[in-house]
Amino acid sequence: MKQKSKLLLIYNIILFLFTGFVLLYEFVIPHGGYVIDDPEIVIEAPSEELIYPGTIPSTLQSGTVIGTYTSDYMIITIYQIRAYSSNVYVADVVVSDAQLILSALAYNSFGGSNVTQTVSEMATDHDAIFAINADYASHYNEGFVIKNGKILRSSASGRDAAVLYKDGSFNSLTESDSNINDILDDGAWQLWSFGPVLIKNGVSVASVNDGLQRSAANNPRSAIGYVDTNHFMFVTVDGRSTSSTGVDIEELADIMASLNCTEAYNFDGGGSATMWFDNEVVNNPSEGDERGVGDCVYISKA
Amino acid sequence: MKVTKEGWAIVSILVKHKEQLKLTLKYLLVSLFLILFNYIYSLFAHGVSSNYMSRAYLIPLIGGGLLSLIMLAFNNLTDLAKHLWDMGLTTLVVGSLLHGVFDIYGSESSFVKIFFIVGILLLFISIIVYFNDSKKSKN
Repeated sequence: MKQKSKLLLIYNIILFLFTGFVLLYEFVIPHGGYVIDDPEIVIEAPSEELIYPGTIPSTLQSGTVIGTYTSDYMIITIYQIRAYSSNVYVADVVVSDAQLILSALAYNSFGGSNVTQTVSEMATDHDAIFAINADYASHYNEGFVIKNGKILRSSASGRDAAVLYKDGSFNSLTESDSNINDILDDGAWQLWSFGPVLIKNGVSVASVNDGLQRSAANNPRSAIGYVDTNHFMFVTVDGRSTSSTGVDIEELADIMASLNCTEAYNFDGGGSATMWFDNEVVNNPSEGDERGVGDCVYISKA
Repeated sequence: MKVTKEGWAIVSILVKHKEQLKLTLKYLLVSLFLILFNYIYSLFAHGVSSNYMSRAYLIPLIGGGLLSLIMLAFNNLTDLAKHLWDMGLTTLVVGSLLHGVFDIYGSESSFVKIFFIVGILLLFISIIVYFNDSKKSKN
């Protein structure tokens, strides 16, 4: 073999090996990250009996109740409804204190790559009654992250974030126009950076023409909605199957609006969309099995 | 079967430029493969696509086209210059496909820029080698 052809062969082998390394490093090999301790929160016992505020949205009244959990601190009801040729699972959650809504990280680790756990595993590890996949914050290199009242990343991304405050209120904001320390000073308890925003100030702002291709396609979805102080709707939509097509981002906003949400925000979807309640996965994740994700939102038994 | 004058002329051109035609065909096939690869990948991408992947076929098409033109016009490319050009194009194609994979997955990788830097560097070296060799052969 000629010397120069040998050079080509050796180079191609090196290129092949390096490409393999990049793919393994980015998609398979867990690396990096640091451990975050779970928060030590003390929730005061409510002085009054917790009652469901207002009336149940008509969309849910026509659905099927598939689980309930009631305590002095929370009222959780899981419904299954049908919308846009898809199975939709709704967790109607009322809590006495917004700090009962917690974030769990895969292996309590943040900032690494391919460090993932299923929502079920994280929920079980944290003695949860309810859990849903969240924004998979460690999937990106940039973007605000506040979990359980702690800033984990302060570099702004071009995305809009959603913030749950300790007082039970909720809003969305543009990261590049905001200062994360100010947000924390305002009492932020959780901040999610994924999006897009579905509903803001009672108006649907979702658009399939938002420049994100994933917004326009019918896909499995997860979302959080805010009804009123300490009253939230967590939604998971099944998709990519013959029985459940999934929804685009405008349809998801319509679903959230039908649940009386005045604020709503899209979480990571696709194969990640998972809702878990009382030791069982409630929905049908599109890949058949649960996909490992970087984080989830959960509510502990209390 | 009687072969016309024009027919013989085409055959003689094909024989004369056999190597150039082989090269052109190789790059065309690679371009077609990349179009097919993008099509198949898009079937599993749940409605998400990437310009880096869908336009990767342009790299061998333009890069290969340039090389073929130089060979047809001057026929003075050395093996080393050709191989370096090939290596550059291959690196750019792989980088472009990887960028597309990360785009579609919704993530990013700082490694991808290495492919683009190395690819362009190899193309430059190939051009330098080409001019250097041309100068030598003139002398």
